Amino acid sequence: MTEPLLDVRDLRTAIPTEDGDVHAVNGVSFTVEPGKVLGVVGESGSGKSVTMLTLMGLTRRAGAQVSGEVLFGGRDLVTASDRELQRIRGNEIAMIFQDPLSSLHPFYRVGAQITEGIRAHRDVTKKQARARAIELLGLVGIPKPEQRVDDYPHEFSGGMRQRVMIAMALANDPKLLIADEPTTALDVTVQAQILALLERLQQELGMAVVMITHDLGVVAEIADDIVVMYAGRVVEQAPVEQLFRQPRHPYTWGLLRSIPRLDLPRDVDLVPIEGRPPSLIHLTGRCSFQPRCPYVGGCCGEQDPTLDAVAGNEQHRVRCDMPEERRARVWDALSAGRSPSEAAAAVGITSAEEDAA
Amino acid sequence: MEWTVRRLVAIGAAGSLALGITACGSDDSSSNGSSGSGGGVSIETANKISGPAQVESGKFYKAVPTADQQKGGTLKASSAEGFQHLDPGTAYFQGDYIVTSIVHRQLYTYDPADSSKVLPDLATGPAEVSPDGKTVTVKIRDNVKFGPPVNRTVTSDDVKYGIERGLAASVANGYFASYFGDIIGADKAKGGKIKGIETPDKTTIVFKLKAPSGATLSKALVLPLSSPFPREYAEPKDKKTPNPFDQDPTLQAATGPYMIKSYSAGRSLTLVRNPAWNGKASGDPRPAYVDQIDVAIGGDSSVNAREIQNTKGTISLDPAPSDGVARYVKQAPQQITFSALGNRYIALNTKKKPFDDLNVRKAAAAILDRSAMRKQRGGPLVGEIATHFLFPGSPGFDEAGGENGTGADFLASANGNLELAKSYLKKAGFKDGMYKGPKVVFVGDTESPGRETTQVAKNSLAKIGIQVEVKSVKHITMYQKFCQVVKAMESVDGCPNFGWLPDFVDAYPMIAPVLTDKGIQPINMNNPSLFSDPKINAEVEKGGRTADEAQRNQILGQADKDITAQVPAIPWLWDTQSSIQGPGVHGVIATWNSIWDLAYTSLTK
Amino acid sequence: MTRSLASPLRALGSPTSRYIARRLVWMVFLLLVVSLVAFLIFYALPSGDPAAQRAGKGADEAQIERVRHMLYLDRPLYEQYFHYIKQVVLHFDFGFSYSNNADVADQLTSRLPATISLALGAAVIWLVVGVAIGILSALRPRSLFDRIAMGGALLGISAPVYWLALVVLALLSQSYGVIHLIPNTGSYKPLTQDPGAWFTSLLVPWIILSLSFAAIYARLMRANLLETLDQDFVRTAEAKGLSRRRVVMRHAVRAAITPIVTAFGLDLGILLGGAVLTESVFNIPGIGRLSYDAIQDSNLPVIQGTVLFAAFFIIIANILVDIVYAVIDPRVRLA
Repeated sequence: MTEPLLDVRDLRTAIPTEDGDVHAVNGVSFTVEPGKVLGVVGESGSGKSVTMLTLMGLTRRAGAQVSGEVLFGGRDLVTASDRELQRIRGNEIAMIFQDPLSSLHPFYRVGAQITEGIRAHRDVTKKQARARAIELLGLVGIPKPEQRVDDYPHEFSGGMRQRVMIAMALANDPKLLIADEPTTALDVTVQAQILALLERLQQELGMAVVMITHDLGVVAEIADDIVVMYAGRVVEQAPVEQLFRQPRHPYTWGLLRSIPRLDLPRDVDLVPIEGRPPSLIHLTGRCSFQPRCPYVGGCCGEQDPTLDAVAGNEQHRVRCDMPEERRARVWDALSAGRSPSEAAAAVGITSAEEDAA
Repeated sequence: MEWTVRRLVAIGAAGSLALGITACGSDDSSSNGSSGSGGGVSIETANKISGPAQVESGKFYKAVPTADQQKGGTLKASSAEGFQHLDPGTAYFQGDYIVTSIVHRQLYTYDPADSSKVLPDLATGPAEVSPDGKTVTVKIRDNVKFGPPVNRTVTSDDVKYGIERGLAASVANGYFASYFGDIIGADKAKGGKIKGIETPDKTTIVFKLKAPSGATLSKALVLPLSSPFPREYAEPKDKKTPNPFDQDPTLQAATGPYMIKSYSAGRSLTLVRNPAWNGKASGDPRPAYVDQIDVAIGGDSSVNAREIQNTKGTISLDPAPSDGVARYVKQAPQQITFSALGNRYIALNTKKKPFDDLNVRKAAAAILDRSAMRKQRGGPLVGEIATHFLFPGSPGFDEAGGENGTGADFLASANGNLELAKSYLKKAGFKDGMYKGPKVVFVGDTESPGRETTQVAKNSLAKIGIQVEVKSVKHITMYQKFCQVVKAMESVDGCPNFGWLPDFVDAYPMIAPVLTDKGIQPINMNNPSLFSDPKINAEVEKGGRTADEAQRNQILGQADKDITAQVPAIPWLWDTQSSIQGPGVHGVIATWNSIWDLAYTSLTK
Repeated sequence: MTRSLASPLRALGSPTSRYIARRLVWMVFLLLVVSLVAFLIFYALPSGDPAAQRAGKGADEAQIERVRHMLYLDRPLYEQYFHYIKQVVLHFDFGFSYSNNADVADQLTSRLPATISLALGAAVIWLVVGVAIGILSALRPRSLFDRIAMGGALLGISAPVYWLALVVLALLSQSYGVIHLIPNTGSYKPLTQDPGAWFTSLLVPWIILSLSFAAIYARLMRANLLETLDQDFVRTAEAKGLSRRRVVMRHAVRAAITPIVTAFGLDLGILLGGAVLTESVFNIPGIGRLSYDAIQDSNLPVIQGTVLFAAFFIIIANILVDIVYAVIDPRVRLA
C-alpha cells in the first residue's frame, strides 16, 4: 500500500459562536491516496465542508479550536504555521466551491484572479502568468480563452464560472483538489459537464480529488472511496462499489433512497430522510442519528457506537450497533422497494412511535 | 443642529437704529433664562442696580477719554454682526456709524465725555436757527481736505451734495424724510439738486425749510448724512445701482482721521490713517490715537467675547452676548462698560377694543410684571425698569420725572399691582374688576428672549382676566408684516417686543416718530399703538420747533409725562448696552451711539 | 464583448459620455427647478419686506417704492424670476444682496475657497481615519480596540459639532484655553496667501468637522467589512494562498469600500454647500456662514445663490459618485 497523500486522524473542530461552541467536526479520520478520488457525502450541516476548511486552515480566522492530525506530505497541517499553510493553499492543495458567482471576486477580471494565484506561489512575470491563465482557461474548456481572460465574472454563465474556478484551482498543479459541492448550484445539464470535466482532468493530471457532496449520485461514477458523514462524524466509509452494493448504515440507506437509482423499481418514491440533523452545540454522547433512525429497536447501546470494520472486510467501516444479520435483512427489504417502516416491520422492529406509546 | 447658532443679527437690513435696538441688542444672545417673578424688588431699588450707575461708581470700566492715552499701534476689532452700509448716505445702523463717523467729518459731533455737548466738527460754530425756525445757517471750515483720490479742499457744495444724494435711488437714506424732509424742494428731488439748500459761498450752507422745524434739523446735522461728498467725483458713480461707494467703500474720499483701505463684506475691514487729515489744525476735536484698525467680521459672538477677554489690543464692536456679560462682570469688570441705549415697551392698539379704553390700558400697565420681563432678558445688567418713555441720559428725562417716574400710579410697582389693576377695570365698567371681553391678540417673537418676555406679559394680563393669544412670528416679520403695517394692526391688539432708540441725542426723535401722528403711515410706520392725541401731537411738534435747549427739554419732558398718562404703550425697560474690550486697550464710548468711538480709543502699554 | 483601448474619438460616443451628457442636461433642469422652488418659497412665505428693510425705519412710502424699484421687486414674479435666471446664465450675475449691496456672485466665489478648504481637509481626515478604524475594528471584532473604537464612534456621532467646538476652544484656545495651543478664531488665511496660517487655522476645524463623519464611516466600514469577510470570494482568495494582507486589502476592503464611496461623494457635495456651524464658530468665511446670514436677513438673492451653489455641488457629487461607482464596480453600467 502506498503512503497516503492526506491522512486525517481524529480531527475535531469547534467554532465559537454567540450561542456556544459548535462542534462541527467530532473525530473524523480518513485518508486520500495519491491520484485517487474520495467522495465525502452528507447532508448540509454534517461537517463535511468544515472538515475540508479546517484541513486547509480556513477555519482559523473564525477562532476554531482544532485538534487531531492532518498529515499532508509528511507535515501536520493542524500545527503548521499560517505562513506554511498559506504556501500549501492554492499550491499543493486547491479548492473549488459551490457557488462560482459568489466565489469569484466581482470587481476583478478572471485573468487577474487566476494570475494572482499563480504569482502568489510562482516567481513568474505577469506575462507568463497571463499565458498560463489563458492555457488554463483553454484546458477547462472555455472557448476563446485569450479574449475571455479579460472578462469579469458576471460576463460568464454559471457553468463557465465554475470552469474558471477550476482553472484557478489547477493553476499551480495541485496534488490535491478539494471540490466542495462543485455542481450543486448549477443546472442539471451543466452539472454533468462539470463532473465530466473534473473526471477528465483528474485522470489527465493525476491529482487526488476530494469531492464533497450531499448527493451520492454525483460521486458514484468518479469516486474510488466514499466517506459518509453525519453530525461531524464519519458514520460509514467504504470503497465505492462496496458502499453501493452493501451499504451498512441506516443514514447511508436514507441517502441512497433520496437519490434516483436505476437498480430500484421505477415506482419507488424518492424518500428524504425525515427530521433534521441534531444541534452540534450540545452533544448528547449517544448515537447522533438515533432520533431520526427508523430502525431503532432494542439493538442501540447507551454509548455512541464506534466506527468499526465490518466483519471480514477491513476497508468497510460503519458506526452502528445494529447486528450484521439484521442490517442485511433491512437492506434486502429496502432494495426490494419497501419503505423504511415496512422494512423495519419485516425485521421485527416496532416503530419509534409505537415504542414510545 | 446646524441652526442653533444665534447670531447677533443685523436683522434690520432695515439697518435702522430703532430696529437695531431689538435686532442688534442683546436680543439675539439667548436669554439667561432665569424665570419666575422678581420677588419684592421695589422700583426704586431696581433702578439703582443698573449698569451705568455702576460704571459711574467705578466698579466697571469707565470709558471716557483721559490725558495719558498712547498714540500708535494697530487695534484689532471683531464684529460678529458685520456691517450693512458703509456709505454715510445709506448708513443707518449702530455698527455702520462706528465706521462712517471716523471716516467722515459730519457738521457736528458729540463730546465723548458728555453727549449733551455738541461740538462743531466740519462746522466752525453752532448752527444758527432763524427766529421763525425756517432757516438754518452753518459755516464750515475752509481748511478740511478730502483724502485720496480727490485731495482737494471741502466746500459747502460738497456738504450740500452729501445730503442731496441721500435721495438718490442707489443711496436711499432711511431718515431723510424724518429730519430733512421739510427742506424746500426735497419732496421733488431724486438725488439731484435741492433748491432749499443754498451755498452762498464756499464755506456757508443755508437750509431753507417749508415748516418751522429748523431746531430739529440743526440737531440732525450730527448724522452721517451731513458728511461732505465731492460732487464731481461722486455724482457719476451715484447713478449706478448698487451704489459703488457702498459696494466698495474704499472708493470714498475720506475727510475723517481714517480711511477704508480694504473691505470684504462679511469678512474683514481695514482702516488706516487718512493722509489728508490733520487733526486739530483743521478743527477736528478727535485725537485718533491708533494708526490702523483691523476689523475681523463674523464668527460666534460668544467665542469672540471670550477671545477678546484675554487678547491684548482687541475690542468688540458687537454688544456683548449675555453669557459674555455675566463672565466679564465676574472676571473682568474693568473690561466691560455699560451705556444707555433706548427703551422697550409693549405697544397697545389704542384704536381697537379693548385697549381703546384708557382705563383698560391703565389696568394692563398696573398688572404687568416688568421685573419678571427684565429677568427674562438678563436681569438688572440689561437696564433699568422703565417708568416712562425718555430714558436716563436722554434730554428731557429729568423734566419728565427722571428716575422717580411721572407719578403714574399704574407704573409704580415693578411687579404689578393686582388691586390697582382691578380698580381701573372697575372704572372701565367691569364690575368685579375682571376683564370679561374677548381675547386679545399680541404679535410675539419666535426668538429668545422676546418669546419669553411675551409669555410673562401674557401671564400678567391673565391675572385680570385678559386672555392673550400670541401670534408668534420671526422678529423681523413682527415688524414688517404686522406692527409696522396699519392694515395689519386691524387684527392686532398689542406688540409686546417694540423698542426705540433715538437717531441723535434729543427727546424729539425719541417721541415724535413713535408716539405721535408722525409715526403713522400705511406701511413702515413706527407707531403700532396708532396713538394720535391732537393735544400731544401739537405739544411734541412745539417742542421739536423750540431751539432753546432748556425750553425744548421742558416741553418734550412734559409731553413724555402726558403720553405716559395716556398709556399708548407700557414702558418696561430702559435698555443698557454692554461693550467689551481686551486688555491693553483704552476704549472710549461714543454715548450717542452706545458703542466704542474708535477715534478716541487707544492702546495702552 | 471585445475589449481594446478605446480611442478618444470612440469615447465621445461611448455610453459613459452619453450618460454624462444626459446627466448634465438633467442637472441644468434640476437647478432650474431648485431655483424656482427657492424663489417661490421665499416669496410665498416671506419673513420680511426686503424693500422696507433696505429703506430704513424712517422711510416714507415713496422712498420704499423707490427702493422696491431699484431692487427689481416691483415687477411681476415671473418677470423677476426670468430676469434672475437670465442674469445668472448670461453674466454669472446673482444680483446683489439687499442688506449690504454686496455682489452675490463675488461673495459666493470669494467664500468658496474657504469652504472647499474646510470640506476637503475634513473629508481627507474622516475618510482616512474612519476607514482605517473601521478596518481595524472589523479585523478584530469584539476586541478591546474594537470596543473602544466603536464606543468612541458612538460619542462622535452624538456630540453636537457646535458644543464640541466650544469645548475644544475652551480647552485649547490660544487666548482663553486651559492650554494655549490653537490660534484664535477668525485667523483663516487663503492657502495662496499664507499656507502656514491656512493650515494652522483649519487644523482644529477639520478635526471637529470630520469627527462625526469619521465615526459614521468607521461604523459603516466595520459593518461592511465584517459582512464582506464572510463572502465566498474572500474564502476563495484565502484558498488561493494569498497573504492575509492581500486578502483583506485587495479582496475584502476593495469590495466593502464601495458603499463608502457613495456616501463620501454625497457628504462632500453637501459640505461644499457650506458647513454652517463649523464656519460660524471658527469664523471661517465660507458659504455656510453666508447662507445662514442670508436666511436671517431675508436676503433673497444670497439665499438663491447659496441654494443654487449647494444644489450644484450635490448634483455634481451625485454624477461623480455614479461614474466612480461604475469604475470601481464593473457590474455597474452607466446607461
